[in-house]
Amino acid sequence: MATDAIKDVPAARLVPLFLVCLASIAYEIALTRFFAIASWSEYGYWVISMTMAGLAASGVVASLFSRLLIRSLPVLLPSLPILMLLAASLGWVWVTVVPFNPLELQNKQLWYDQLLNIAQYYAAIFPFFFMVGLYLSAYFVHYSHRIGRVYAFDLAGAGLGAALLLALMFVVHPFWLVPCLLPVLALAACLEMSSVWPRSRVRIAALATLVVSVVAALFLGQARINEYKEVFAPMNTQDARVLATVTSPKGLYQLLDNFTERLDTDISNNPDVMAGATMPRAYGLYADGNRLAALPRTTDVDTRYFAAALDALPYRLRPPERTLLLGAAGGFRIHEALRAGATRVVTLEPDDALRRALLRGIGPAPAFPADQRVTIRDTSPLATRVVARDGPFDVIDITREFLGQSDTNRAALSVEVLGDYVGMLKPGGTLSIPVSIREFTVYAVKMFGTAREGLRRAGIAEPDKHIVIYRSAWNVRILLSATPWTPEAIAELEKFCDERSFDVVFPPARQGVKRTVFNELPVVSFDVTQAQPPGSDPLSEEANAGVAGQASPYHAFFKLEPPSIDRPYFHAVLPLTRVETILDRIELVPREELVYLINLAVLAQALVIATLVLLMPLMTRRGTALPIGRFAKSAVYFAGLGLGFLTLEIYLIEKASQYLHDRVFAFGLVLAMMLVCSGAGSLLAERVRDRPRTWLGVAVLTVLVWCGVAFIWLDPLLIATATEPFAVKIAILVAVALPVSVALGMPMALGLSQFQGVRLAFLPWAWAVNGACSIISTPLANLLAVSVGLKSLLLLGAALYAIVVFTLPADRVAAK
Amino acid sequence: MVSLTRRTLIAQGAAAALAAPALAQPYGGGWDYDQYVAAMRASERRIGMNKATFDGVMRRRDQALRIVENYLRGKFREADPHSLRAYAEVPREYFHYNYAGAFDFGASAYEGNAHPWAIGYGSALSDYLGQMYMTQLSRPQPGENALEIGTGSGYQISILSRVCAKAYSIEIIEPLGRAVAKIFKPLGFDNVITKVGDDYFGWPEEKEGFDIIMVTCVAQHVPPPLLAQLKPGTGRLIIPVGQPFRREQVLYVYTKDKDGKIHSRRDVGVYFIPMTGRISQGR
Repeated sequence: MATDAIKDVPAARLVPLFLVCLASIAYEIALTRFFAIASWSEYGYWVISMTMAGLAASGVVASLFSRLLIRSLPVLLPSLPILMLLAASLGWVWVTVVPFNPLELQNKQLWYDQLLNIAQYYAAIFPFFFMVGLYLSAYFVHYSHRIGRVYAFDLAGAGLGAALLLALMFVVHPFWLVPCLLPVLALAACLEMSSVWPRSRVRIAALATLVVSVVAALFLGQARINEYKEVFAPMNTQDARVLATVTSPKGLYQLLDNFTERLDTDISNNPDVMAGATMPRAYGLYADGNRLAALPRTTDVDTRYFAAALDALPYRLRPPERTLLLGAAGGFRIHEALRAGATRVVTLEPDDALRRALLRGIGPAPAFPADQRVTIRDTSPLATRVVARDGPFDVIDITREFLGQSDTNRAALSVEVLGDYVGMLKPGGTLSIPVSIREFTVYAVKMFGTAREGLRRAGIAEPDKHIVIYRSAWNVRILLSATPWTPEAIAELEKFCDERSFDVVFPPARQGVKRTVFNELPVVSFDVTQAQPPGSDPLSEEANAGVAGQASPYHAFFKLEPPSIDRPYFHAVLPLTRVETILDRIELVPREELVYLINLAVLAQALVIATLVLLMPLMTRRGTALPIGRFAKSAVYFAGLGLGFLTLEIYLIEKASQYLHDRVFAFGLVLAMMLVCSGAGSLLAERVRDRPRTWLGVAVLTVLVWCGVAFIWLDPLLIATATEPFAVKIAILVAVALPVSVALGMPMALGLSQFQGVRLAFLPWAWAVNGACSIISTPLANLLAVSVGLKSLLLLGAALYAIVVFTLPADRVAAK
Repeated sequence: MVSLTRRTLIAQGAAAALAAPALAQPYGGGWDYDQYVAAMRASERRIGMNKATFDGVMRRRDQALRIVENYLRGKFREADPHSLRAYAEVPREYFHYNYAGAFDFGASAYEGNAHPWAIGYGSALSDYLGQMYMTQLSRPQPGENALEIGTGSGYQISILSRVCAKAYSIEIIEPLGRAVAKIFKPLGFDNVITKVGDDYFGWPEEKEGFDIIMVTCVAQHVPPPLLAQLKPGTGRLIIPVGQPFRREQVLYVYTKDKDGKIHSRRDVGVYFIPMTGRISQGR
């Protein structure tokens, strides 16, 4: 089996590789979905890390034992897919039985056990991805003379794997995705050539293993929704029923009926304001085990309770004739607005499942009754130019549920978007913004400053005259107006709060007037808490400072910069440079912030892995070792490609998520498209491998020009086309990403093609370096986007590609 | 040893002076392995401890009593004798049981580093220091009655039952509520009354209302019927907020004034371990 003797590589030879790559990326995404449901989505980052650890390790092993690898190819190639089948199945079973409780990670006395559980996850997943990496390495060294072609099949398989899984998620329950992928691996085994065993024997072995693997995955796996998720308790009440289930890439939606399901809104604790009204019974709609909304059981809702609701004030300050709702609260808020006197209610409900529930109903939950006063749109809240066509409005009401439903919804709290909404108000109209303060007050403090900047963005010179803030014990409402608040409106605010035992936070009380504080709220920070005298309200002090643009008196520890379109993160308040203090106070950290700590942990781990992989050539024997100059150039080259590719990919995923308003779909689409197009780029590189420097220059120039164009024009383009049909938006994204994706596929193939003959052993190493650095760039790009902004990813990506132009390891050693 | 003696004296003195419920201790007296086994069997639960392990737990129990007393004194300046007596009378190892897995982990009771324990069905037995903090915060008095929303392991309502005249508890998770309902009688805690079902409406059959209500709440509002059942002037309602495996949850204390108006206060005392600097002024 002379490695370089085969001069051409027919496509049929590469089909097994294509299938293995397809199955492996689909397996990775399926695991990410499992983690999102079984624990929480932020733990999906571990999967990426585990995957890359397996792949990187295999590259190192393949490099160190390259001769053995080459000798073993006739055995390895047909047997590895069969072993992968078993590893995928048993790994899945193991993953589902690990008793991981993510909540215990935040307890300083319990986290150790959970680290052991995470180690179990690594042990379960590592073998599969190690074998995938070994298989890829085997192909690389076997067909090194056609490396561009091999790499193209690798990327195309991975891209189509992402697309396949995206499609599967529309019809298959997330817990059944892995068994669906096993036949792909069996097919790869069946198609694999073998010079050692008869093909029929390989096929029988593959089919027998497939049967065993599928049976194990189906019957031994114990995948279930985490018992600490919101759906668990209602699901286990007497006579609880799941009335409808919808599977989609965005989530596993379940409609529940049980006695706990009621409208859940913040209301006054004073019984006389409720006047005997009760909170209406409802159905509960859950996504991945998290409560999404309460849905009315009937088309007619008794909304008398709304008089006691914290959210009701904007509807009392003036007749809410023309009302814009960001989120319908399952439909309840539309009923409430209509009863409050609205004659026109425009509702933005970009979540597909919720909008369909409103328009068509779901299970026994009825659709919102036809009413010519009501319009329900799928428009993104960021498409403010389109939304403005329905204005101007008396009330713009952002519902609490809306902000809880997705991070793309929370992007509506960016300074630019809030400024645009203020611009849509009629004189005297109100923009109402909710913030929870139940566990943590810092988000309210962050919003005080954001509201001020939003008003300034709308051209208001004295924001303090345009803001009122009030609260219950658990929630704050910030009301913005395009015109200064009148004394009558302030008096109505004070009366409203006094009757309901709510507290006015801003404006401060008139001189000589003392307000009763009904809900005492000591401010909690990480480094400071001060005893406040009874009757004081430190949140008022915070509001005074925030509205005036001054430093926070109690929350200076946190990052309080207002979110923007380029940094649309409502959460992300932890200063990660002070990680020691954060870990010391880990039990106070809200779940929304954990994702950044997990990114930090994954980054630390990735740096260790990448360092080990990078230094591996130092372990090789003399004679075959790379000269130090070439080693350094190769390391920088492949590390730069790994970092640069993922940095730009994450930028595009973030932009596509906002644009399509569906993070999982955007992730799958961008991943599939970039990988397939990069595969095309790799094929192209194969044709021009004789002039690697020239074509590397062309590819990098394309990347740099694309980054520059995207920096200036991508945001305006996406905003201008935000209301186009979904299919058109996908076409626009494809058109945007295609040129850069093709260009991104070329440098890797051109670089790998430089390792031939005695340097062949470094081919898997180069690939492993690239993979290891990809793990670094995933958390690094996330942290950079949160800290600096998304556009910084474009700059970083461009800089990395600019560097690789000068480090191509092109002093080719002739094959002997 | 000195402090143990003093603690015991305080507890016994308080018990005698404050007219405790008739069966102040399980089986009206000592608590030994045989009684433990009998109570576990009577509550239809598996037994995981042998006598030697049980004896080891009992030795840790004495130490835990001192830890609790010091903890409460650190947090409140004084440790409430009612709360201490209740702690002394409720055998915590009996509540260390996982109902979903049907196994007993009583052997780990009175752990030196108090922390929450999973008991199955998404429920947790909170750490004993946090529970005792909540108990003292609620200021239970003899003759009062208490309502707990979310029975969980049954430990918190058992503690309250040792001081209050009557202790009611509602659990919404059916399999957990049904299993835990069986554990009180074998201890002789006859003043604990439980049910499984909708907790939103509280316990309207108790016409006089409640002095203490403890609510495990995930909703955006306190159910109005619960506030209605809080006694004006003296009633206090306590809500721990946050995920159950944090040792130090946020606590909200609601009170109803004589006019029926509700006031709330976020209590951060349990939240903050003693620290130097400004944090130490937190309480």
